[in-house]
Amino acid sequence: MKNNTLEVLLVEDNADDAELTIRALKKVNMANKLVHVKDGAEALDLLFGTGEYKNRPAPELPKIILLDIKMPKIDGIEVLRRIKSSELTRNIPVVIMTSSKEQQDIIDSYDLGVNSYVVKPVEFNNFAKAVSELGMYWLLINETPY
Amino acid sequence: MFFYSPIEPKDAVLQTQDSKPSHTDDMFGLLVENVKDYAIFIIDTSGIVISWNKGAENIKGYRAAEIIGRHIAVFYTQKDVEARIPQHNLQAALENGRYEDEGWRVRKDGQLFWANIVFTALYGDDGQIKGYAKITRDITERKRAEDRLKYQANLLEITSDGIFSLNAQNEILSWNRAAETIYGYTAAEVLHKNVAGVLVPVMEEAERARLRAHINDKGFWAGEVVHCAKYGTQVPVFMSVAVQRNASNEIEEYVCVCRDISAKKAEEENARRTQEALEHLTRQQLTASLRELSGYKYALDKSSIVAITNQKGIIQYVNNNFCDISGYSREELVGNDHRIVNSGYHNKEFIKELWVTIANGNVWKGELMNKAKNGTYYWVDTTIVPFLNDKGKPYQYIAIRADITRRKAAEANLSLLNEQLEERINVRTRQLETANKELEAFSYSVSHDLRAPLRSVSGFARILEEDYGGILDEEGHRLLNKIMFNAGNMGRLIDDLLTFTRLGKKDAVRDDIDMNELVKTCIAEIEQSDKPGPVIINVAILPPCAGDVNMLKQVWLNLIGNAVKYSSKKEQPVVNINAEVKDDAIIYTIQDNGTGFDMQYYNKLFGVFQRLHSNGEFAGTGVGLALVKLIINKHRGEVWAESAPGNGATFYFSLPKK
Repeated sequence: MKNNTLEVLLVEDNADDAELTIRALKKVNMANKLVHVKDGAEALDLLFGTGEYKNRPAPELPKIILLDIKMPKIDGIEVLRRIKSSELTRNIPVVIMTSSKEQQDIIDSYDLGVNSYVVKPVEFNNFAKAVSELGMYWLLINETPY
Repeated sequence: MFFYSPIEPKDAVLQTQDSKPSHTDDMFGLLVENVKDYAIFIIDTSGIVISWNKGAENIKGYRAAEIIGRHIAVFYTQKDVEARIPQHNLQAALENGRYEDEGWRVRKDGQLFWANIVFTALYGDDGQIKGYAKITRDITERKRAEDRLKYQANLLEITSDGIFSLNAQNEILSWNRAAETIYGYTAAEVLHKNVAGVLVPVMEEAERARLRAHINDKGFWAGEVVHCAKYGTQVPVFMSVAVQRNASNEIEEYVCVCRDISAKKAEEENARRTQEALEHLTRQQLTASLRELSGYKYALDKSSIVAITNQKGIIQYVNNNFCDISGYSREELVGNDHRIVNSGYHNKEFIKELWVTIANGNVWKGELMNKAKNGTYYWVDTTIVPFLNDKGKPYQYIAIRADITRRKAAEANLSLLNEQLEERINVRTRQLETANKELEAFSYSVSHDLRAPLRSVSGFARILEEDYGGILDEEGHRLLNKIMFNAGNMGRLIDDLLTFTRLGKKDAVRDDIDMNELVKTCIAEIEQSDKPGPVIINVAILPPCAGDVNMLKQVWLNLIGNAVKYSSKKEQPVVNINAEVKDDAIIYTIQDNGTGFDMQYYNKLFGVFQRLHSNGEFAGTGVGLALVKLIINKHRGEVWAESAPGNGATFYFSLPKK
């Protein structure tokens, strides 16, 4: 899924959830410029050109980052902190998409400047609806400063 | 008086004036002339002195040449002159031919003397008064003697001492008024009677004889006797008896003076009795006080450790308890100061404070650790009381102690136990915190990790239906639907369970809540999400309450939601919401006309995952009422219900008033 242009960066360690998300976005034709990375560390490498991405040309910044919280190595909250504390990346809208309804996660996310916090519904229809509406909003309706 | 009686001066003067002087007359004239003890002179009718004898000169101090021709008024006092006494006397003599009087007269030198005067009228041949013969005697001495006697007689009558006299034969000669009063006999009753029949001293016959002998011998006796008076009354008297003897030394009279001392005697007796009673009382009190005091000392010695020191702290006395606890003998302790039992435990400031307190006369109380002779330590609860002298300075101290060694040990033990307990609590608290963290991690896990696979089940089942629905037969579709339905059910179950555990950790805040507003919001949400059929919900005006609005919203959502759900199969579902204010609580009720439940299973009603209806009948997770109960309990309220199958159900919950 490496494309020259990047619209959606999906950070999700659960392959099933990733597949369901991508399917939902595809249905509304928004998964064309989507990159899926499987943990927080890879997401940061991609964004800041470090690690595996060190010798690649400077990446195009995504229009939206869909971020899971519970991930191996570096979790979503930490990724969010790094994104929002960097001049380079802090204006990218970040949507936390998680199974967690934990109050503390929600508070932490908003403290760090998350743009949306969405609990993934268990029921697929609701899940698909939520994902497609998110895509619509952030990619088509919302205006970004760049 | 007898001086007058042989001679009538009237006659004498008449002879002098009117007869031819004879030899006898001459002799008589000479006699008159030379009488020295009588003033004999003649005055004319107007009171002018005509003749003057030696006696007049002697008594009145005027010589004949000086007085003849002067008026008799000069003999009178100024007061008498002013009262015209001389004129009165002359007039009286004129009228009666004679006038006699006694009174004060004035000498030439101004001295007064008491005079007896007699005016005698002198008549001429024609029967006319020619003048008066006046005879004056100086009777001052007699007058004084008379006055004294009168005074003495008065005294005798007015004195309060009974005075009587007896002759040698003991016959009563006199009996004054006081004697009448004292003994009850009048003078008339006793005079000339033998005293033995009247007054008998109350004493032995021998004693009376001895007394009589003494009086006769010594002539005088004085002392207290008791007389038996009239009607047998006994009168104590102080009697003085004097014997009067005649020239031949024979007893003539006994004079007795008796002073009634019954009042004094009664007073003395009274005083003696009072004194006696007082002494008795004092002795009794003193005895009682001493007994009490020795009781106290005994009690103190038995109960406490006692030491007495002088003002320098040198031990003067110790009781057995002191010796027992310290291990020192009395000989070792007395003469020493308390440093002998000093443990060194207390600092200098502490000991100084003790001494300053008691040296200023104040009581010191405290706990001291002392050291016994064998080197062991003991604790004493100590009270030191200073004994103060007249100046308020302590002259000795008494120290009363109680052995509290065991208590001190117990206290030390207790504080050690406390510390251990605290440590154990800390350990437990840490364990509990760990357990809590684990629980949180667990529920986090549940919410995250259990939901993800469910989502996959649900999601891929849906994809299967979407992508391969066309090649599945009816049974295939039915089975697929079962998978999706159960996955959704489990998702709700997990959500409810998480809500339940999350609320369990939270404390209910207490804000003022408008229940009418809250219920309105809840009904709106239920209508929005549950899409119930045509249900009628009647809401009365609800009193406000204090509580956690988010939690109570869950309560209303569950109870109203249940009422709507379980009455949904009725033709016309009706839900009534009411409230009632009691003494100390508000009770809210949610009543429906739905399917109800069997009270037989009431004990399962509010349990977690407990359901009284199958999922096929009414969908549900079995968490809602458990959540309601949890929340209401957090508000210190209660929740209960009444129902019968088919007859609807009424749920009640109470909240305490503010």
